[in-house]
Amino acid sequence: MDESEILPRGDTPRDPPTAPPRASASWPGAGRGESRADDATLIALSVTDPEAFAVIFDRHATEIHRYAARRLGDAIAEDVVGETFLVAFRRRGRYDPAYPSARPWLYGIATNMISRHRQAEVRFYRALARTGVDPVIESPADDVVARVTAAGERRSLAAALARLSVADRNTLLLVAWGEVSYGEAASALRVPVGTVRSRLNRARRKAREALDGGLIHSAEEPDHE
Amino acid sequence: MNDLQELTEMRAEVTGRRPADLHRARSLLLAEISAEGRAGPARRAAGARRPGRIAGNRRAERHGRIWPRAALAGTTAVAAAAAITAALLAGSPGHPARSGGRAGGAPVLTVAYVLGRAASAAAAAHQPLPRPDQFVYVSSVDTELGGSGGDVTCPASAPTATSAGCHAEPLQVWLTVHDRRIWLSASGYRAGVLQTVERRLEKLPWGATPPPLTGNPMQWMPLPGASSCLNLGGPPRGSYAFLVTLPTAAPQLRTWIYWHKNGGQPTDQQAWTDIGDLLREMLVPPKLAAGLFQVAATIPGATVVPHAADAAGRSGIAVARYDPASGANAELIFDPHTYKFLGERSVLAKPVRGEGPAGTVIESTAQLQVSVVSQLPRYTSSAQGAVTGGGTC
Repeated sequence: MDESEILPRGDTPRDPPTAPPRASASWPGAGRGESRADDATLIALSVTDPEAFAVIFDRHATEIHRYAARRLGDAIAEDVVGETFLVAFRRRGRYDPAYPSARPWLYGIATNMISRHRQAEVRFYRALARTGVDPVIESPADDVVARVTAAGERRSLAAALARLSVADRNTLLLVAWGEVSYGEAASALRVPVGTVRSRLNRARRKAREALDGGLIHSAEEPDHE
Repeated sequence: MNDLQELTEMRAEVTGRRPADLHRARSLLLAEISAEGRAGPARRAAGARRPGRIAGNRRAERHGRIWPRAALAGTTAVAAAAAITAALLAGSPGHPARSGGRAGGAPVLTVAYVLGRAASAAAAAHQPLPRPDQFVYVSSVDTELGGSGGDVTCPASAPTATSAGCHAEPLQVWLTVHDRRIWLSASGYRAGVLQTVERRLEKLPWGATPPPLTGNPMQWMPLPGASSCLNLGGPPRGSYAFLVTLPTAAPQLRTWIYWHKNGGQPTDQQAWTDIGDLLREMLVPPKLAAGLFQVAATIPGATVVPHAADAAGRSGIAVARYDPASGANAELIFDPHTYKFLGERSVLAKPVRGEGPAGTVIESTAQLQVSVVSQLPRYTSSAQGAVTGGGTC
């Protein structure tokens, strides 16, 4: 029997590359580690080499998932992440290379995707406001008794969030939970910075009123305190 | 406490999943990337309007293909995204999709679906963790086209004995069936061994009657361990210790595979081959196996084979990629229910002179057992030369 047939594969040495191969695999800085190219470069590259876009996913998916999970819970959040990156991938040809980081862009798309789940989101805030139990927070073994009942402030805040307009809520939560700057929020939501400020002011005033006034106690919903 | 502080603390315990744990989202993107690679990138990336795609869907509808409603209505990216999700969820493993054919209106997601399921199954597998001094043991059944082949009077288009214009004498080919058991040093530095047992020679419908088995059907082949002196670049390739050094996230793994082409085939073909090579007769760490299937899903040109029996006769579903050099489809076979990796085979996609008609299985491996053992079996080497371990410097 021919020896080459019988030896397990892997005994043939694979020489390390002396030079990067053709363009399809030669992402800037690619190799074992994370690519060092900025997002804008990778996105531009991905127009002709779609695989490069996978790096964008690996860089930002966790953060986007956390943001979505905070608004919608873990399960829906993965759908949001999937849709967000799919849409981003399809729009990559129109990415503005003036922004080195794709973060605000991705947050913007994710926010739109989250808005499609507005009913679920609001339902969760209402549930939290009413019962003090947050459906978004997963508890081990789903043991209701083990769940920490939220304090009054948390419940008032949830009630306020449920009542905000979609635009105001998106802006407030993008800044508070997405941890983006006002400028990034403006670019994510495609509105002027002034609009971000005025929406934030309005949203925060409502939140403060809810906290100060103990919105939860004056709510029409019966509460269980 | 002010409103922003209160808000910042609300649901602060929520954590984001790592990319590798966002499997569904990731597969969705990789499937799209893969489809895009086939359809011609620049045109598709240019904007939201993709007339070709919509037209393709309409064609599909005319031909009565079941297609998610959202795709027909969907001119927006969002609707299209929903459609892809629906297609992924609804995708029947048995549906024979032509992966290269998005432009022709065929859904492209089935390969992604099969490999996505395979990746999930692989990632969830429980696996022993070998110590460096232990061995990975794999038993498998292996078939290959044997014989002397080469009936030169038979035109390639009519390779069977009964075909018109073909020589009356049947091809001297048959199927050789082996049992294989291999012990591989987990570290790569110790000697291992391969046992092959020639089980039988099977007659092919168009082939000659094989000769009876002669001699000792059992062979022991010592597998030398790598020398640690020559090994400055990490664990020896092909060892378990080497596999655990590979990146498991699909993009990085893909880059690695494309950079470390283990042969001179065209890039995508080589990547497909190399993935098969990495999976064969090896204990592959679950995350790496999952990554390999995800990477395979990004290689253009793959198709689904709904019914593919492996060398052990187990029925499976396969993903295949045509190799022009051999005229055969290289298939990765999975259990149709659990999507566990079963093995591989190579099936002629067109008649090949001296081998057989389209559909001939020219090579097939079924992986039966993979485990970790501490000892090599006792054996008498049927090969010449001493069994050598890695040796020290």
